[in-house]
Amino acid sequence: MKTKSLVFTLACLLLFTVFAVPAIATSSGCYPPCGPCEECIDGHCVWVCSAGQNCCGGSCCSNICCNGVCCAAGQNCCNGSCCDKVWTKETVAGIAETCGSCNSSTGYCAGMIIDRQGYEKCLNVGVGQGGEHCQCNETMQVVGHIYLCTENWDVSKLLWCAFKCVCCAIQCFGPYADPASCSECLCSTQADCCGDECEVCDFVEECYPNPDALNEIQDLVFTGFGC
Amino acid sequence: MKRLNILVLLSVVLACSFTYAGSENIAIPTEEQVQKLAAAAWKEPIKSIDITFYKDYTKVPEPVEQIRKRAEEFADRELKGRSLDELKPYEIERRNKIIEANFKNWVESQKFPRKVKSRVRISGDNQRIDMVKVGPNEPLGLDTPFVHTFVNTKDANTGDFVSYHYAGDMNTVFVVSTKWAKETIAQFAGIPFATALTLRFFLGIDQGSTPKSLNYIPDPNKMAELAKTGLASIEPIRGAKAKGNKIVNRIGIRPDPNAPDTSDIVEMGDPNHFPTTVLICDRKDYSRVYHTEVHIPTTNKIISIRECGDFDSNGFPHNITEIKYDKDGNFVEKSVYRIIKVELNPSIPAEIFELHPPEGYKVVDQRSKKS
Repeated sequence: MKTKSLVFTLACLLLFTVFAVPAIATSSGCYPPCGPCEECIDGHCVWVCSAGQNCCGGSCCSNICCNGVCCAAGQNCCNGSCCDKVWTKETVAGIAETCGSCNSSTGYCAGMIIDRQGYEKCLNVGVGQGGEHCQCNETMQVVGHIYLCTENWDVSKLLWCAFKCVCCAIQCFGPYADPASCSECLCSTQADCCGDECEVCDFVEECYPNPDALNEIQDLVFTGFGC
Repeated sequence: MKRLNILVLLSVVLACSFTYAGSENIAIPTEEQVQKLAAAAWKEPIKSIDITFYKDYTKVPEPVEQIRKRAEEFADRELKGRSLDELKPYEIERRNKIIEANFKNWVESQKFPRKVKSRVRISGDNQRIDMVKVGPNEPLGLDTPFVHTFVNTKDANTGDFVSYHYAGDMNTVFVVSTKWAKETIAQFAGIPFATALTLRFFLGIDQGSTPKSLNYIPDPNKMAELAKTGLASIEPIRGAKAKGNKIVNRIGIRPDPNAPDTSDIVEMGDPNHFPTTVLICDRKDYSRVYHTEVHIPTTNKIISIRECGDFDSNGFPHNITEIKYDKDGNFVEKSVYRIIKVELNPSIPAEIFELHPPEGYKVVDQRSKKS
């Protein structure tokens, strides 16, 4: 056994002398030793990557180098890892639109009212500049509710006024027309109805919507993307 | 209130006529019947209520084209004036997904009947509605938790009215600038509100009402006139120069042929287009109304029907159906109520109307953003 072991050791020494020693001698021709992506040629360290490439983890890299890893084409670097997109977040302000679908400033018109809380929306900003997020788990989510904004008709007032000035009411609603606005029922456009007693018809105007518009409860919600 | 409801109300007004041509064979109410009618019209209103109920409702669906247009408009609000051409590819993709998601949800919400479970608590001007809504094929039971809460109350600090919406699907409380619609389920405990008001006008005397405060009390003379002639009238109209100057309402009461021993039919309306309002009432208590229908006087088309049944000992019905039609007689909506539990005039603690968001809820105060 001892004889065999001795023969193996000698063989290894012979191989090292024949192959490894000449190689070490050549490399040591550049001093200090060449850096990554350099080769020692004729005693000089030469940059081996082509124009537009960078050295990444000791290899030439045509794309973004991220923590020593050459990312795939189109990938970005964020938080030390190659990733497909770099996102940042934008805070979307909450909204409350009263009677959003009509242009009245009174708030009396029928239309939608929208309530939405502020939420964070992802923005794809490309290569990260700091403060970005590689992973932006964009998900569809409920971001608001829609209510129907409607007139606050006071039944008792409406009926009483209609009785008190029933001619105007009949002129407007008798044929069950659908007046475009309350003003069509008022004395200003129905003077013939009430003759000289316009104050009676003006009285009806007081019966129209109360200052507080009501929101009829709806179950419609609307969605958006959030981070 | 929707315009349809205005039409219903005004149909009550138009049930009255300026002139009256003559009498036909209408059952003139007896003095006792007039007394019962007045008692129903002036029935003491419910001051507070705590009621839990199911409601199934069906409406004429909104056209899908309109829903899509609405979904697109909502998505485009996010663009803040930018045109579609200016959007990045991922923004276009996101916009399309939002449109589709809303469109799908809103189309889904058009599948009827929608089912609702609500608990309504009203005390004075305070109102709280806890609610959950589901689609036609989704389960809804006593154990189904409420998702939304809508509250109208007064701000403890300012005294101003304030309204909240606890949105359980967003873990958010919205404090809004306008009030939520009043829940009117308590009206089923009596004759329909518009009819009651009409009766007060015809059988009552004005004690200095203003548009802000109505104050009519029963008028023995008018009630006697009704028991004598079958007609009731209100004072001449100030300034009117139409066909006449007196509004006349005919009221007839006769036994219900389907329940001649227990129910009466009360018919009201313009004598020239009689009747426009029909009530089938419990003979002992006219505020217990089993059936109501309102017709448009000029066309006689039915504009609304209300059926009430299973009255409890307090006179509150536990099964209610309401159907509404448009002025041409086309179906508009139907609601079916099943009362789980109702307590009339209970003492309701003020705390339940206060803003106490559940843990983890975000409070979004929208009042300063009122447009």
